Parts: sequence; structure tokens; C-alpha cells
Amino acid sequence: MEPFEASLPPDLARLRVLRRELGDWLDRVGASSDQRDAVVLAIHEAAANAIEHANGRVTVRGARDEEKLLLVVSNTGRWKGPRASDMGLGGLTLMRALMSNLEIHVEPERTTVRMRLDFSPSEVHADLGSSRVTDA
Amino acid sequence: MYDPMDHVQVDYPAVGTALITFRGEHDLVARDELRATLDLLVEQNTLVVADFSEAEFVDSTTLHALLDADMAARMKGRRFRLLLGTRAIVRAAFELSGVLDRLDCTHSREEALGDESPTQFAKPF
Repeated sequence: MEPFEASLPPDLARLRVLRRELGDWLDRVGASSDQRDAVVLAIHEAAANAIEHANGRVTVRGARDEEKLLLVVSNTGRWKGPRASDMGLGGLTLMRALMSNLEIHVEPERTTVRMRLDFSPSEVHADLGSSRVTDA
Repeated sequence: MYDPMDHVQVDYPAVGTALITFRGEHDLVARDELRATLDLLVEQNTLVVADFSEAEFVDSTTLHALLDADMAARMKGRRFRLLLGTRAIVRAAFELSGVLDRLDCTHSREEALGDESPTQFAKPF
């Protein structure tokens, strides 16, 4: 099944296009409406944070692996705002709630947000999932 | 070019009452304009109703702006009310962020604009 990949310049206006393209891909890989919405919102929050607080391009990758969706948002360039672990409370709260698992790895020149959504409708929005933040 | 603030409409259904209707998608691109609009409405009205029943997407920055407007209204002794629709992702954003618990949420435009307090009271910060 085709993976998803998008490379965004540090331009907040591109987030709307990202949401469209990601939503279309999620439809193609068989995500339900709830799963589609959850992933689009979670990825939006991660990408928006990366664009707002870092410089350089932001890369979004997604793949369906049997019964789960794996998604990665990463940015290059020096982190110039709050550290990823200090990500806006609302955005981080949403990502944790929407995804089955969330990991944020912060390095001096790169931040990577990894998300997993189990491909089971009953698990979407079921709980706050699990999350982990590591600073290099 | 897409301008999120084009999807915001402000009406004044009564003296001292502002109704701000959100349609389409709302994210941090229009954050500053949204905050300025909400600040002005809270400053100039005793009741501000934010109607999201026709919104298709909201992100955390929009939710933060609403919380701040609600706080400003409380500090001035004014009312700030939320009206939600049935769009799943919009409702999920409000619920999962905890914002829904903090705002006075109404279920119809009549209830939102009425004099009676909403049935769901906001929790204190």
C-alpha cells in the first residue's frame, strides 16, 4: 500500500494543503472517517508546531502496516522556540488523546514526532493512549 | 489565497450581544486576527456567542483563543458561550483538549442567545 510523504516549507499557509493531501491518502488506505479526522488533526498539530518553532523544511511520512497507521513528523534546522517537550499544552494533549501512541524525540538540530494509530475503530478516542518525550 | 477570517461572520442580534459564526477551517494562520476580533467583541458586548456549528476544523490555537476570550469575559463580568454542531472532528477537538469542560456550552442558537444561563456550567480554572 502506497506510503504518504510530504515535505513542507516553513509556511503556516501550507498546513491546509497538508490536511487535504493527508486526508485523501487516508481515504485511499481505508481509514474510517473517525480515523481520518484523528490523524489529520494530530498531524496538523505536530506539523504546525514544527513550522512555528523550528526553521527548515518539515517532513511528514505515513504508512499503513496491516492493522495500524504509522506516522512521523520531523523537522530539520535548529529548534528556535520552546523545546518539543514544552509543546503547547493543547496541541500535545490533542495528539496524545487522538493517537494510540506518541513519541517525541528532540535532538539539537532535529525533532521527530512518531505516532501510531491502531487500525481499530474502537480504539480511536478510547483513551489518552500512551506517550513518551525524550530530549537528546 | 485562502483567508480563514473570511469564514468568520459577526452579527449583533441584540444590543450588547455579539454572535461570531465560524465556518470552514480555523487554524493558527488566522490566530492573531481571531484574537483581536474576540478581544474587541468581549470588550464591547455583555454576551458573546461563538458558534462552531458550521465549522469543519479547529486546531489548538483556535481553542486557546477561545479560552482566553472566556477568561477576559469572566474578568469583566461578561458572558462567553459556545455553540457546537455535530461535526465529529470539531467536537473531538473541544472534548479531547478539555476546552469543552471549561466553556459554557449550549445546544442551540436560541439557548446561546437567551438570558438564561446554560445548563452546563464551566468549571473554574
